[in-house]
Amino acid sequence: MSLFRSRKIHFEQQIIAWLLLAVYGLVVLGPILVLVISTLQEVFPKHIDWLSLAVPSGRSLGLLLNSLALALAVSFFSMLIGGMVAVKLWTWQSRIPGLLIWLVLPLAAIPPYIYAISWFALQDLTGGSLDITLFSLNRWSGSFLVMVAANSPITLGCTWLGLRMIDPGLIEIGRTYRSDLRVLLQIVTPLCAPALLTGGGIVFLLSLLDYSVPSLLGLHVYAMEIFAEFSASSNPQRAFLISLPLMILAVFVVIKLLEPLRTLTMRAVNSRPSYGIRMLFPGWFSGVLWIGVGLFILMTCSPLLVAIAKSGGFSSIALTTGSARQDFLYSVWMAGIAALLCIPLAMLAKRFLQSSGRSIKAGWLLIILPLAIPASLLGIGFILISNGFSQQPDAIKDHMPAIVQSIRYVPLAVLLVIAQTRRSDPLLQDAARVYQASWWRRQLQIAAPLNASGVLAGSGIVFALSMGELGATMMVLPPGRATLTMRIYNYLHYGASDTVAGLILILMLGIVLGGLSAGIILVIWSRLTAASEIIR
Amino acid sequence: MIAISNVTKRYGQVLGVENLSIDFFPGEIVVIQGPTGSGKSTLLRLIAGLELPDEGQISIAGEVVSTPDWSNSPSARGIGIVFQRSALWPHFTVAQNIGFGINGNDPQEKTLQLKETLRRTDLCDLSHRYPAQLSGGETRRVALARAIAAKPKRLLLDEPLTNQDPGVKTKLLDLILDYVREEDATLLYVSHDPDEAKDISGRLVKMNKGRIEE
Repeated sequence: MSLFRSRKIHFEQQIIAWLLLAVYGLVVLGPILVLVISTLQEVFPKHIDWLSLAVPSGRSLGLLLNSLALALAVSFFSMLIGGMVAVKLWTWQSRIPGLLIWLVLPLAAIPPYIYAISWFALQDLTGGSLDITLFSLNRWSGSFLVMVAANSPITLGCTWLGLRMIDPGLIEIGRTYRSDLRVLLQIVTPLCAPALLTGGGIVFLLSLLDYSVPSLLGLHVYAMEIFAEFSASSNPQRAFLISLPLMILAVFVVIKLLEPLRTLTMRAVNSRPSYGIRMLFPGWFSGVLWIGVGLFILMTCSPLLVAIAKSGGFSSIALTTGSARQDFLYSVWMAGIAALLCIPLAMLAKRFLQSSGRSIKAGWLLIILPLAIPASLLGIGFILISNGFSQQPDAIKDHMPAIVQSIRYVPLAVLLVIAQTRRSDPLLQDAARVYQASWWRRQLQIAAPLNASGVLAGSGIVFALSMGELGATMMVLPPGRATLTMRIYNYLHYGASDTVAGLILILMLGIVLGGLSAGIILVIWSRLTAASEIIR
Repeated sequence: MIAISNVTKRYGQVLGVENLSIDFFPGEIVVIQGPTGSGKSTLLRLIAGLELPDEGQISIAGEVVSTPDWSNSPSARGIGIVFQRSALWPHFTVAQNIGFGINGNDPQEKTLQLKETLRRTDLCDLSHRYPAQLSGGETRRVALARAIAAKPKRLLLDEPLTNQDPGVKTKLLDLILDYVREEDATLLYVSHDPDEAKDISGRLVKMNKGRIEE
């Protein structure tokens, strides 16, 4: 009897978890589902010939291959540079790397097109003479360099996490048998590989689906085709069909990322250093690592330096700020709403991921699937939904950017919430269940404070990323409104002027402050609520 | 000989060992006992070169290997070590885990040495398995095999048989003692268990609060 009852309760819990996931999926993947349904309705009775749009050939095949090559090159070099910097920080025996990493990680939230300002400044500086040198800088290599600069902080963050997760004993044992270089190459690197590849995979996805940098530098990529098709034909179904090859590739990468992402999220980070005595490498290898560090600093700091140099002083920045005040406030408002909207979605997903079941992997896939959707397609999906309503309140129209931003970045908020939950002591919740019968009081007094840091960090990252979001925002922006990113993006087409430099400084400040406060909250709160023993 | 001279090691405010001086002779079997936090593991880590002393120096075979300012590489000290946990590299097979410690330029010689270790530790049938496919007793055996594969003259074992069944414990202990006798190696064996200390029957060193009591 009792066995039957426990099975029934388990079954009910499973149903509830799946229902919650269905709500999450409906909200997050709703725009794409609507696009799929409308495309099927449109294509099959009347426009079978449109199906050829989904099969790349001729020019579109060339574009797809070009995009693929660019994304592969960007992810490989981002892994290389981010990996080298992570190793250098990891082998630096001091508290400084731990602090530095929190300064570097918010850089990952700065949109890639901001980095293009360095490129334009370089061109201004050389008067185009670099084009005729041996290292001829063309649109492809320009896009490549800008995207590597923008994405290296992501691979650095992932590799750093991976290095901190390695059991120190495995490294120490290796050091008693072989040189530190061989230990690094044969033991540390393979053990850290899932984290490194996760970073590389995320960068690959971002580079494959991004068109902001290539379009600024005049390079044609496949992601741009989706936007171009919709702009030309105003037909969401044709744009969706064109995006299919790109989405198939992106979904394939997301599936491959599933396991390493889960590992990164669920495993504990070692609080103690991985070794007692500093690792010593041959001079040539240390030199290579320093070159990586130098390149990283040069690339990631250059937009800030160029923006400061070009902005024309405080009075000019104040003038620019004044002129962009409305756009800035609207951007902050939208990003703030997006950060708030992602909380209930993240909690829904968390509730599902906490349940156990055979289909947990499918749930994980559904949760991180939005990462595979091109931003412009998400925007198009929303336009299609809003077209279904003849009368739409202005309040909804005004907040459309916040909704798409929230949906785009909610998987990252989920990952942070889950990671934080895994790191807090489950006994704290169990004890609450023993001492307090009221579900509401348990949630309010125990669960909410314990989950607060993950929720705040998740919202912080969504806020920072939303501040710089362009692809989807651009599609759903109501008439008469502009975000700061749109203004910057439009100005950037004319090079590195003092106006764009001032705007970039304001945007970077907003993003770095948002990211940094999320990090600080996460660290402080995690220490307060940390498990008394590491949970594996 | 391993000579520890006036060695002190602190971890921030926590004391590891304090003004410790002791010699371990070639072929000697030493059992180190003491309560948790008495400095037993720190002593082994200092000898292995995994920690730098704050004061004093450590010599191996007449050569200074650790001072507060300098330490030669752990891999150059001719030691084999087993921690409380097996610490097997999960991406290596049993054979690769054991073979990693075997030095030398001749691949044939290295293969022969690996085969001999596998045979000696009765691991031939498991050589292609990964650590995740082994039982608790088997992982300890692999950890021991890895420690002795390069035929080190100094074997440092930090509670290597904790949480093992009595049957497994006896087998592994025989394996360790056979190796030490055959190779005339120095054995430093950290243990909590008084019975284990009796079975090993070597010099007993008792530590407490970072110092040697007797």
